[in-house]
Amino acid sequence: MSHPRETPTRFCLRPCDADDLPALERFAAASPVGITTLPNDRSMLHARLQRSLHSFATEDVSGEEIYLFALEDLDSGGVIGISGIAARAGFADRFYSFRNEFVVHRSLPLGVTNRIHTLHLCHDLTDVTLLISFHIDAAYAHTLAPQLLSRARLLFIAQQAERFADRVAAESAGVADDCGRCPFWDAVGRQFFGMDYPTIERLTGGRSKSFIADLMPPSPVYVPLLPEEAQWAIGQLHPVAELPFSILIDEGFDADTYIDIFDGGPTVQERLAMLKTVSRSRLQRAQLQCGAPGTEHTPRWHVVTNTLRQGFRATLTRAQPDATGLQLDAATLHALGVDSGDPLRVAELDTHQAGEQP
Amino acid sequence: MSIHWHFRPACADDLRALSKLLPAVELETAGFLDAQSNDLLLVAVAGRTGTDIQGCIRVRRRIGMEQPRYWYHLGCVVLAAAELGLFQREQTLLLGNDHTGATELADLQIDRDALAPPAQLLLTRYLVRAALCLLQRDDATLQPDRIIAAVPGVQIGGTSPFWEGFGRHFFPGDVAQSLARFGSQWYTHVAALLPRHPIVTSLLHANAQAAIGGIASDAHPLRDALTASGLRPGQHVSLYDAGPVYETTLSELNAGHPLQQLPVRPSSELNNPQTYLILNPSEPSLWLVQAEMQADGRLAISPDCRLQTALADATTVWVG
Repeated sequence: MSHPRETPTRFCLRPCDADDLPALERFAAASPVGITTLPNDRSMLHARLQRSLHSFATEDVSGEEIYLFALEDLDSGGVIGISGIAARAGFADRFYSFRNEFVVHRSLPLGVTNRIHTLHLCHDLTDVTLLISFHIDAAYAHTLAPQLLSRARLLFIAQQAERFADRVAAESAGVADDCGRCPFWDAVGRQFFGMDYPTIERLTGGRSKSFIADLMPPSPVYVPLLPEEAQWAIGQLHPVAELPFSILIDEGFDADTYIDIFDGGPTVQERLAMLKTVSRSRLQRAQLQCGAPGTEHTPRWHVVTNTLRQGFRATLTRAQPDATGLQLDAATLHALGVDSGDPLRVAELDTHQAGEQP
Repeated sequence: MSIHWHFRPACADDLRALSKLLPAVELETAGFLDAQSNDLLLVAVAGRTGTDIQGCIRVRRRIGMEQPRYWYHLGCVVLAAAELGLFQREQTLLLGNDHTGATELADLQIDRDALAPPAQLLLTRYLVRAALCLLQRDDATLQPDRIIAAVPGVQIGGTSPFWEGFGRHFFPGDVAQSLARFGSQWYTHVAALLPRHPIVTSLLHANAQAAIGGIASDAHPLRDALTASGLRPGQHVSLYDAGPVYETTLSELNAGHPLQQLPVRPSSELNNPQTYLILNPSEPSLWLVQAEMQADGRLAISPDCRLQTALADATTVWVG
């Protein structure tokens, strides 16, 4: 069996279907505390899966939709990763974040100038589109599979733009240990909620967050007053979040403005049009490749998606689009569920993303 | 002894003696020497000698009207979520200027070398009372009529746990050095560095929280003196050590500790003398004397006392 790194074309991203529940359970069980969109509860996962199926199928959108994707290794036939999209963050309610702000206090007589970090509870990200539920099998972490799993959903958003906001955000899990002890939560949220971090994550999964406004202090939190451990945790990542976070940063997401109100993990956000994969994506016509590819240009790795909703498919291919279209072999056309002449959305991967030398 | 103490305004000749009680920075400008200023420093001199300064108290009127003064207001925010069965009542601190315009009693100092502890307690009490009596007599139309006095907060090992848990993060310098340099103006300067938004105190270190509203162990006499005169801890604490700010109003003072106007007469026989504060009819000064209330409504004082106070027979004085 060839090494996964050598054959990225074997990966295919598709909408989750009803048979993917065991895979969801496996990923949920392996997720650390803080990945709330993957609750470790079969009935809740089943409900989310049903909701996703409906979202892909419905023509009548409200903003409450979630879309779950499964990344399949076509060679093994197994699901090796999942990712998702929530159409509107804080749907029918508010989406809470802490916004990083800095104030400068100065006293000329005392000769002191301080730049003070404060956290402001806000709803700025309410109604943005949220990237959720990224998880990939560790064996594939160093392949191109994570690139496909993360970036292809951005092309889905671009293609189905009427279902989503023009701004995208993503929460990344913050610092917490295996027992669920979270320094930022212990210093801030616990003072007001009176419960530990795993408990609040369970309580908030899938329910209205209006109680957050009721329980969190409305005035800014002055970061210098927090214990050092909590200060350090602000904007820091749980180890499992490092890979997806690095992809988002490479996309051009801003990571400096917002943090999660519970664990202090960074919440990235950016306008969809500014994201690298979306801004460089082009609509191309699929073409069945005849014969060996030409050597005039070196083929580069691309994320390729069809333009369907329920039948969405995405894969990776080494190709060189030209004015006539994108030439793909039959297997790739089949994986994408398209025929020659069908539209494709194509975005080139950077050299470093493809693991190639520049 | 017929006269315990004479309370009078400080004069230039007192500066050397006052250097034992007050820091040099507070004496450099000595604004209290200007009779037209809103700053009065009342000194307590031993009745017999008339020269030994054994204590002092400062009365500042209309505070914060030229240079802002700051305190933390102790507030409350309720955070409740019925669906989770949670109800939290949280204490808050908010930097503000709420007592601007009030009258302040400050810089109460006692010469502990000159007085035994019982006398120290007595002098502390009567310095407060003397200052208040002057306000009751001379500032009857005071507006606002609030009177405040800050009591030193908790100290542990020579430092304030409240400052260590809070203020230090915004002013990392040496507070003692800064106070020696700027005097009480330091509090105005440091306020520019402190948070302007409400602070939920449960986010502070436990030692800092516990110190809020607490009193230094050696400040209990001051607290007792203020309480005896009708002041009560209000909703404010000091910037540095979160010591409580006691307060009252002139109206409350007049209701609870009214002054009386009584004619005096000398008497060589005081059968049951009590301690009274007698206000000089024409000056902002007082005497703490042994005197006796007579059945005819006059206040009998000893001939010796009459001599020292230079009060003519039948002069009507205010008595506190």
